[in-house]
Amino acid sequence: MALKMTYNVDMCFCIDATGSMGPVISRVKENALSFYKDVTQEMERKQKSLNSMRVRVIVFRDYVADEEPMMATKFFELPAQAAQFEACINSIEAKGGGDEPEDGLEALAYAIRSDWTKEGTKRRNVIVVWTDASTHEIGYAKSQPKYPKGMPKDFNELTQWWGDSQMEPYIKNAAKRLVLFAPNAPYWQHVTSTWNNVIHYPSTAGKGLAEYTYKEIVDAICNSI
Amino acid sequence: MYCKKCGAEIRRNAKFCAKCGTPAPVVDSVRPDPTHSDPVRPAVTPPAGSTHLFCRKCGAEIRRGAKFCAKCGETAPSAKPSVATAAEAYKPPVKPPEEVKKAEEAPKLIITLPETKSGGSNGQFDEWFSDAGDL
Repeated sequence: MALKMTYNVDMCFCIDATGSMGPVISRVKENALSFYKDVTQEMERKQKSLNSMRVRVIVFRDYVADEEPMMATKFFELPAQAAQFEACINSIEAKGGGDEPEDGLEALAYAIRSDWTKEGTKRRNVIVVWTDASTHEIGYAKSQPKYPKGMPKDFNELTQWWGDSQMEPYIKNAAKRLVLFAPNAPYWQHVTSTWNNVIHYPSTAGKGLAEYTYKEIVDAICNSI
Repeated sequence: MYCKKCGAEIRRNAKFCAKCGTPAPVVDSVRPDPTHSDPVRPAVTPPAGSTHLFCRKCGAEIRRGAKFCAKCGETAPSAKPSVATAAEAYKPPVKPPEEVKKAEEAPKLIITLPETKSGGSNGQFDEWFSDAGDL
């Protein structure tokens, strides 16, 4: 009998919550309560099991155009806090957005700086980005009053935050995974081509990730673990 | 004075809420104008000292001397038997039973809050999310 690998998984969802993202946000809402069960079942099929799972959510939009450009939750322990996680997901509203690029790289920066668990072996720190838009260069909106302190000053510094096999300032190299549902557009292309441990699922700009079913999304996440 | 239904401020002497059309509470300042009488019908006069009349069709205030209601175009009360209060002037159209039923159902559409799965309320969102803040 094959031994199952057991993982301690932290996930950080970076969700573009601008208006066009309604379809995928609705899909996630419909399945939020069963998300833990669905991931567990998919992991079982892949001969893997979960020892622990936590999820947090970052909702991003546009620092220039939106009143709530970057909002974040704490980690939810699943399955114990499945109901709270569902309520959290259901509270997200797809709205706003100014120009077509959004501020996805800032969301990625926050995700990298999550309070990842350091306990247990076989850790996986999975960042999942959902967007149907290209992204501004990091720092594009730095003159805005809401723009936070401490952001990387450019893409190179953000790349350093992500790290590599030689340096891992904020997230363990062996544990980190980036699952990117995003268009083939500048900066997302840079991430895909220059960062390690990235899986890119191209999306069509402006279509709210309509091309991906919930099952495909769960499968993609589980493939990364 | 504030509308009991929608909370909007109602101007002094206004008979209806300009925002939702709910009749305003009767106040002492509204008194019939004894100087204005209709030779054809009993006098139903505007408030004393008021320069305004009220449209009998839509209830909007009409400046004395105006010939038409600026809001709906109805001939002003000065050219017809006059009315004293907007409450008497404005009579909601009588709807057939099926239309009345629809009207009764309509407020449900107005007052029902969005379902949480379709967007949630700001309060619920604020319960889970906070500004990401400085790093």
